[in-house]
Amino acid sequence: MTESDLFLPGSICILHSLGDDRQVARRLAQMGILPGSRLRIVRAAPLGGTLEVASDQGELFALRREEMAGLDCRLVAAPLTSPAIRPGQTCTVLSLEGGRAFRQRMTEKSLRPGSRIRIGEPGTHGLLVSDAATGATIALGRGEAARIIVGLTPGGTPE
Amino acid sequence: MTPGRDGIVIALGAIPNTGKTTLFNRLTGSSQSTGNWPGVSIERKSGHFTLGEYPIELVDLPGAYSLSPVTEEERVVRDFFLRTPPDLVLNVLDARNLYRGLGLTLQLAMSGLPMVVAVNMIDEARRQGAEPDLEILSSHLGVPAVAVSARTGEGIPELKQALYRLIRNPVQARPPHIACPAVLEEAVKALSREIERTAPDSRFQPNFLAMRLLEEKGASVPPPAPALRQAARSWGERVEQATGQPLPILCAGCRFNAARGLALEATRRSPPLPDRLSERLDRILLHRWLGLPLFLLVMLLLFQGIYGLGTPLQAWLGHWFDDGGAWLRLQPALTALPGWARSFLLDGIWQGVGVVASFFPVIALFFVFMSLIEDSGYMARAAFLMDRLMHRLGLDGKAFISLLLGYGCNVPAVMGTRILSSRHSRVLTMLLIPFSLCSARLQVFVFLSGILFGAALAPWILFGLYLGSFAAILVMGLLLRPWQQVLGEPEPFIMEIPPYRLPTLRSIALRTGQELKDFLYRAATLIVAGVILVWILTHFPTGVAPASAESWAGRLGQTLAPLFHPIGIQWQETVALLFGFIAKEIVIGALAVIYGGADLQRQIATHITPLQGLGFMVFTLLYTPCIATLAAIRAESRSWRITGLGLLLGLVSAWLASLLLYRAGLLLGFS
Repeated sequence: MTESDLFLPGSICILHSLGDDRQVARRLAQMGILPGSRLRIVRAAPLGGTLEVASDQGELFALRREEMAGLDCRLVAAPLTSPAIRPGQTCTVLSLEGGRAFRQRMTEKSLRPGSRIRIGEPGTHGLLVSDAATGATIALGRGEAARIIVGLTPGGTPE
Repeated sequence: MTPGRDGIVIALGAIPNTGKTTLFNRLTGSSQSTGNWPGVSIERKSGHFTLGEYPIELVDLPGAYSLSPVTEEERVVRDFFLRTPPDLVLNVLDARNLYRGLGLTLQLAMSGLPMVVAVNMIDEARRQGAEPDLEILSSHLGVPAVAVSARTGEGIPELKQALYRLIRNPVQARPPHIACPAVLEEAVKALSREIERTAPDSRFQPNFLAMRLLEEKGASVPPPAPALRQAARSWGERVEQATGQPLPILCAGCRFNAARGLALEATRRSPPLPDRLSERLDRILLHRWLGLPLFLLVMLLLFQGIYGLGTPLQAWLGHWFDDGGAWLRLQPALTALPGWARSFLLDGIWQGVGVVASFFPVIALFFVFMSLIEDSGYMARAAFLMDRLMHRLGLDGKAFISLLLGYGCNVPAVMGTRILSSRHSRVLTMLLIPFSLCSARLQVFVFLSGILFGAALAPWILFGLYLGSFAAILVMGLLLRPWQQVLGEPEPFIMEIPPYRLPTLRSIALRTGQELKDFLYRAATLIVAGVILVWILTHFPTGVAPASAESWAGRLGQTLAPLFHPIGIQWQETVALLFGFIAKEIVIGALAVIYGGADLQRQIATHITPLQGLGFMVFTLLYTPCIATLAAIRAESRSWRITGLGLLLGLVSAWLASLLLYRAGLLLGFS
C-alpha cells in the first residue's frame, strides 16, 4: 500500500503542512489552500493519476496523485474500502455518497449517518460489517462499501 | 490625476476564472489591441475607452493568484505592477466565492495604489441567495467595491463612475492591515523603516514592499539595494526559524486568514455553497465509465464542427482564388505586362493572398468552438480526463485537444495552444502539432496511395501513415520533453475546475474577430513572403519553363540529389516538396507541372515505384510544416529560435524516417 492509495474518492483529510517549499506548495498556498484546510477527494479521473479535490472554502481543483501524496494531509474520513480501515475496528458512518435509491437501500440495512459499525473480514465479493449496538451482521457489496464514508481519528485509524 | 501619454493607465488584475476577460470586453468593446509582454510569449491585451474627460488605457493583466510568481504569467504581472505601477488598479472578485480571490485583493490593496474592486457575477450570487455585503467589504479593504455582472452589463455604469471619481479625486487608499505572527510583524516593521529611509517617495506603502521582500527572499523587483536585501534575508531566516514555516506560505497564510474572516463577514455564510448544476453535470460528464466516451463524442462534434464545415469552405475559397486568378490573367491591364511580372502578380502575390484567405473559415470556426468549450467550463474537465495520458509526454490534459485538432489543420491548432497554462506545455505542443496528419497531407496520401497501391491496399497505407504520425508525436514528445532551455521549466499542475456557465455570443464573437485580426497582422506577411520565395525559386532565371530542370528550384533539386537519393526521392519530387512548403496539398499539382505530361496518374506510376512512393509520403508527412503553420508558430512563440527548431525537427526526422523505411524496404526485396 502506498501513500496515494489512501486518497480514494469520498475521503476527507485535513491539511497539516504543505510539505517542502516547492512550487506546488506555493501554488496551493496562493490559492488559499493552507494548513488547516479540509480537503475532500471528489473523484479520480477515469484513467487514474489525477484527482479532483474540493476544499472547505468551495474551491474545486485537479491535482496529480503524486502531488497529493507530497502533502501532509491526514485522513479524517474514508470510504469503507480504504486500506486505512482494518477488520475488527469500530467506526461511525459519516455520509452515504449516493442517490436516493442507495440511501434507501442502506437504511433498510439499518445504515445511516451516525450508525456505529464494526468492520468484519472482507469477503470475495464485498465486506461484512456488524451493527456495533445490536451485533447484527450486514453484508455489503464492494460498490456499496466504496460509497459509505466513515470517520477516522486524525491519526488515520478508525476512532 | 493627470493622464500620461496613453491616458490614465488602469491595470485589470484578478485570479483566473473571475470573469476578468468578460469585464475587459464589456469595458473596452472592440477597441482592443494586442501585443506581447517584453521578452515572453504571453499576450498583452489593452483596450481604450474614455471616462468623462479622461482617456483610459485598460491593461488586461494575465490571471495571477499572487504577486509572488509561480508561473510565467505571474512573473509578468509582478514585473508590470512593481516596475511600472499603473495609475489605478481594477481588481475583480467572484461574488460566489470571495475567499478565493481575496488573497490577491488584499495584497493589491496593501500596495497603497488607488484601487477599485469589481465584485463580478453578482447576478449568479443573488440567484444562490449569497449576495455579499459590499459595504463591509469596502470598509475592510479601504477601497471602493462595486457589484457588477460583466455578462449582463449590470453595474457597469456604477463601476465606471467609481473609477471616474477615483481618477478625479485620487484619495490615498487606506491600506488594510492584516494580522501576522508577531515575529513577522516585527520583521515587516524593521524593513519598512529601512525602506522609508532609503526610498521615501515610492508610490507603494513601505510595509507592502517590506512584505514583498520577505516573501520573495530578497529577490524582488526592482532589485533592492544590497543592504536591504541582506536585511531581508537575515530577517527572513529569523522568521522561518521562529515559525517553522517557509515565508511564502506563512505570508499567504496571513492574507488568507484575513480573507476567510472577511468573506465570512461579508456573506454571513461559510463556506460558499457548491454549484448544484455543476455537481450534477460532472456526475455524468466525469463519470468513471461514461466520462471518456462522452469526451470522445464532444471531440468528434468539435472536429466535425470545425473541419466538416471549415474544410469545404476552405476548398471553396481556394477555387474562388484560382478562378479569380484565371480571370485576372485575361484582363487587358495584365496581358499588357511582361510575362514574368504577370506571373509574379498572379502566381506569387495573388496565390499568397489566396493561401492567407483560405485559412479564415477554419480559424473562425476553430475559435468559435474553442470559446464554447472553454467558456462553458468543459475545457478544464477535458484536461482532467486526459491528464494521465498527456502527463507521460510532459504535457497537461488540455494539450490533447490542441494535438487532436492538429489532425484537421495545423494552423488553428497552433494558434489554440494559447489555452495551455504553462510556457513549457505551449512550446512543446506547438512543436508536436506539425507531426499530425492534417487534411492537406491526407489529400496527397489518398491520391498517391490510390495510384501506387490500388484500392485494396491504399486504406492500409493510410492507416499506417496515421499510426506513423501518432508514433512521431510520441517519440518527439519524449525526446523534447526534458529540453528545458528551449521549453522553459514545467509548472506544477494544479488546475481549478470552474462551475459550468453558459457562454455568451458577445464574447465568442469578440474573441473570434480578434483572432482573425491577429492572424492577419502576425502571420499574413510571412505567408505571402514564403509563397513569393517559392515563386522566385521556381520561375527564375527568366525564360526557363517554371519548375523545370533549368529553374533555380530544379537546380536546387539536382544539387540536393545526393541527399535525397539515399531515400529514393528524385529531383522532380524534391521540387514538388519545395512547393509543398506553401501548402501540402499543392504537392500533387506541382508534380503535374514538373512531369509536364497530360496523364498525371500514369506519369506517377511510371516515375515512382511503390516503395519510393511510400518513402515520399513519409517524408511529406514529417518534413517542414507548411509556411502558414510556421508563421503561426512564429506568431505564438514570438521566437525565431523555436520556429527554426520546428523546421529543423521536421526535416531531420523526415529524412531519417524515409531513409530507414526505404533502405529496410530495399533490403527486404521490395522496390
